[in-house]
Amino acid sequence: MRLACVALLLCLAHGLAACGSAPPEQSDADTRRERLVDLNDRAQRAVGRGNLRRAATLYREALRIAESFEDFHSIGVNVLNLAAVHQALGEPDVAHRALERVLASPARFEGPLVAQAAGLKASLSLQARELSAAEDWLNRAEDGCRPPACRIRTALLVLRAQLALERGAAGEARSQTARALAASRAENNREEEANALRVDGRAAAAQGGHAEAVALLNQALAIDKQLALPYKIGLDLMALAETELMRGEQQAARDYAQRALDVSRAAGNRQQQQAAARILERVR
Amino acid sequence: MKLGSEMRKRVRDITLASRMFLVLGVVSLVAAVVLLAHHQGAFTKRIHIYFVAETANGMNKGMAVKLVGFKVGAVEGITIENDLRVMVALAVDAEYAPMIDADATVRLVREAIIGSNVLEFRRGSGTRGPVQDKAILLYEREPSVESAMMALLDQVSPIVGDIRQITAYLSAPDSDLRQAIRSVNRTAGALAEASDEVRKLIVTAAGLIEKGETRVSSVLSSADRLLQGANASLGVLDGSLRKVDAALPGITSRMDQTLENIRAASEAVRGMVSGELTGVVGEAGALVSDTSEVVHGAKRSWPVSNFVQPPRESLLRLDGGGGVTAVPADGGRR
Repeated sequence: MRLACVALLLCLAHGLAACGSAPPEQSDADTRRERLVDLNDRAQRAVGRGNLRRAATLYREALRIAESFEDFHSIGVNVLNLAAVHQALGEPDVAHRALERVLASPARFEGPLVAQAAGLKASLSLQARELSAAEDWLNRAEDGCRPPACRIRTALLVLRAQLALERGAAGEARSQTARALAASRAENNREEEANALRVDGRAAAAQGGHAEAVALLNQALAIDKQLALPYKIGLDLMALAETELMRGEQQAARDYAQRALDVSRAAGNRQQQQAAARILERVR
Repeated sequence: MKLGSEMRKRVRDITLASRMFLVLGVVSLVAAVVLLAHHQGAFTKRIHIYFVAETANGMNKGMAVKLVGFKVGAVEGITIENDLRVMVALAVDAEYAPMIDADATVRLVREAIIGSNVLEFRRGSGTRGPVQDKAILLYEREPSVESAMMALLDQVSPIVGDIRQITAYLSAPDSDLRQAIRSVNRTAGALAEASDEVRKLIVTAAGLIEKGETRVSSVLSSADRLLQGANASLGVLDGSLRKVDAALPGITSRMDQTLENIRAASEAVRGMVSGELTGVVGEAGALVSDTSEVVHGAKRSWPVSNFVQPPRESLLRLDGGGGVTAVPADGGRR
């Protein structure tokens, strides 16, 4: 008891001294880490503002710093962010190159990071209509995604639905989107809800349910407009143009395609501009 | 008996242990307090320097006193003298006294545009040796950004007013200039008509005297060429003036708008500068800076540092649609 009291008093005294002392000087590693976090924050804010070029520059700088002291967690995070930004900018080659840093030596990185990198590869392959590669990457992402650490399951469901749709299996795509919709609403993930609605709308159109497809795509468009996501708005408008084209509404299709072209021009996404221009050519 | 002596011995032991415990505790506490005081500079030798200012605005007790950017002391007291002047006492670390000239001046400066005020020693002549304890130095106040801005606005405002008057004059439909341009247009048209008439007359006259005086004929043909040239020049002048006349209202209205914008902006700046906003911003800036420093320091100090998670980068959430959103993968910020 006495010993305990003495120890307590000593602890109090030393605690007082410690609190009164100046905080320890920051080490170089701490300074670099702070810079890294600051760059990452600024890049994320740039993404929020829609300034993707600026975001890419900041993520690249953060990646350079992370690589300078071989912090594999930071390298992985910045590689994935950089790849996502380049994908949204319509620069898939740069995104693929960035992802190679994680996927070439996955043992160095945490499982969820590798799973997300594989998911991004699947998404990029889907955009390039390389369906077998997309399936391989998607399988790898699903294998590596183990909850609760992995939080990309809903996005993977949407990608799986897209893959089925691209393969012409509209029915399978719709059942996948139903799961994705339920999951996205359960976790209040509005981005994925819109993605699932878009894929569902396209699948409905492929099955001949044009009116239902237009309703679903308009729901997706409304969400994407609320979230102010230009790339997704462009996708919704192009899907609506395609649907109107399928049911022979040339004028409506032209209007949607023109709106998609305008949005993609304003967002500076060349790939989407070309896609919208191709639809416009078909309507003329 | 034996039990009694054993009990007395145990009580003595307990008393001794309690005293030792108390002494150890007190010694530890005193050591901690002394260490803390040493850290805070309580044992540093200081000299006192004074200066007299017209106002205490921008100064407060405890404010930093700097020498070439280094903190060398603090304001110890600010008092009002009988003649309504302000006496400011500075406590300066004695080790820096040899670096401060006896005829140095004290200046109130701001560390940044939005930053806290500090007092700064300015170099003296260097011929009167170092400052002594209880010396009185001269004080000067640095012209502030606000007053410089106010002076600039005061210079700009009358110019803006003049230009506004000029543009109003130029754009008024019945202004002398507009009337003059219209007159020139009318004159140009009349001259063109007159020159045609003159040319016809010359042609007729030339035919009549063709067989008579040859010198007159050549003079008349020269006059004809001159008149044709004049006619062409008048045509050009007429066209140019018409263009000026057409463009003038647009130019003046744009100029007027621009000047209106300048005036509104300058008034807004003046409002900000002369109002309380500057003080509020300054205070807020200092408060934010201080708070940030305190929080930052606390985060790094034991034992708080053990409970604070080191900052980590955010991973953007994978987007099934191939886009990118500023939502972290974990659904929230760190």
